[in-house]
Amino acid sequence: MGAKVLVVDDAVFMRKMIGDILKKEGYEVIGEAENGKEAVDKYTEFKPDLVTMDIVMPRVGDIDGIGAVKQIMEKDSRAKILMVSAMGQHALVVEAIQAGAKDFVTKPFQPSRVIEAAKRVLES
Amino acid sequence: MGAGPININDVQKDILQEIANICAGNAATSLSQLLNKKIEMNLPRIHFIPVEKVPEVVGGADKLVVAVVLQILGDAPGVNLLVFPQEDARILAGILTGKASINGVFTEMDQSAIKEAGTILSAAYLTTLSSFTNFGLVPSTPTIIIDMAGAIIDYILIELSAVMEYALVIDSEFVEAQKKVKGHFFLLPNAGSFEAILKAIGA
Repeated sequence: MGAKVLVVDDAVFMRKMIGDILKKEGYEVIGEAENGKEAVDKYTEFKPDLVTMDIVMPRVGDIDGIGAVKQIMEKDSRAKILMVSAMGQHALVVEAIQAGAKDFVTKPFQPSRVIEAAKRVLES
Repeated sequence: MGAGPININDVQKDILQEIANICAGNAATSLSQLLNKKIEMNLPRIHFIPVEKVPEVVGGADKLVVAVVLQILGDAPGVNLLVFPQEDARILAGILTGKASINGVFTEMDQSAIKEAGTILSAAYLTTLSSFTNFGLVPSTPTIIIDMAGAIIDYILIELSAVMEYALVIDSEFVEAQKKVKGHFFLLPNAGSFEAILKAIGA
């Protein structure tokens, strides 16, 4: 079985798309979260090898995407987080990387871009 | 009281048309990448209208539409609105999810897919506009509304407390194989933002 992945995105469509891309490549999607708070809770519960994290999500429990990165990194400094951003979000990407995220992919993406980025993050 | 005629000259309109062409081209590329399918785009038409006329563009205040609304934050704040007639929205959702709609109902997955497409299209438009103006234009998280066109404008003006007089309309038609999806992109700059955009593009 491949690496265990937690997919975080407020859009169910995007969670399915990213999950399908990773599953086809042999990854095991062990959980999904639709906001930053749920992401932190599920990270603690599942201890995934990799997290894909949407950079812009509604703030729930005072945690957004960047906040979730910070809280996960506080819990586990070796966490491997791949940010998923859209065009025009460079400032947020920089903030996420400074908070501990390892890499990012920009939507819309080809499946190969996600796979390459996931491998890079896991090998980092 | 409605807004008066907008003061824009032919040169300014030409520049904005050119920006719209590039915006729509980038949007088609983005949609193509999202779908992993070839998407072609007809050249968009642009026009300016008072905000209260927006529902007329999409078929009237009573017309049922699907809209993706994003607030624009940054150097030229306003609202970005993508409106699809319901039939076109169903076609778009079908292309994105690979499933035909059941009894014409928009499932949670359909709505999520349309919202995501709207976000990506808006990002493509705003990034292009940003590169021409050098403005930082940051979209908020999107809201999807399935309602009558008139209610969507009420939402923007009342719920978002937006203050604006004019809308820049970019009518675009995206074609995937034999399936056409017509969408209306509206840029609704807050008071002052439209003048700032014109000044920034040097028109």
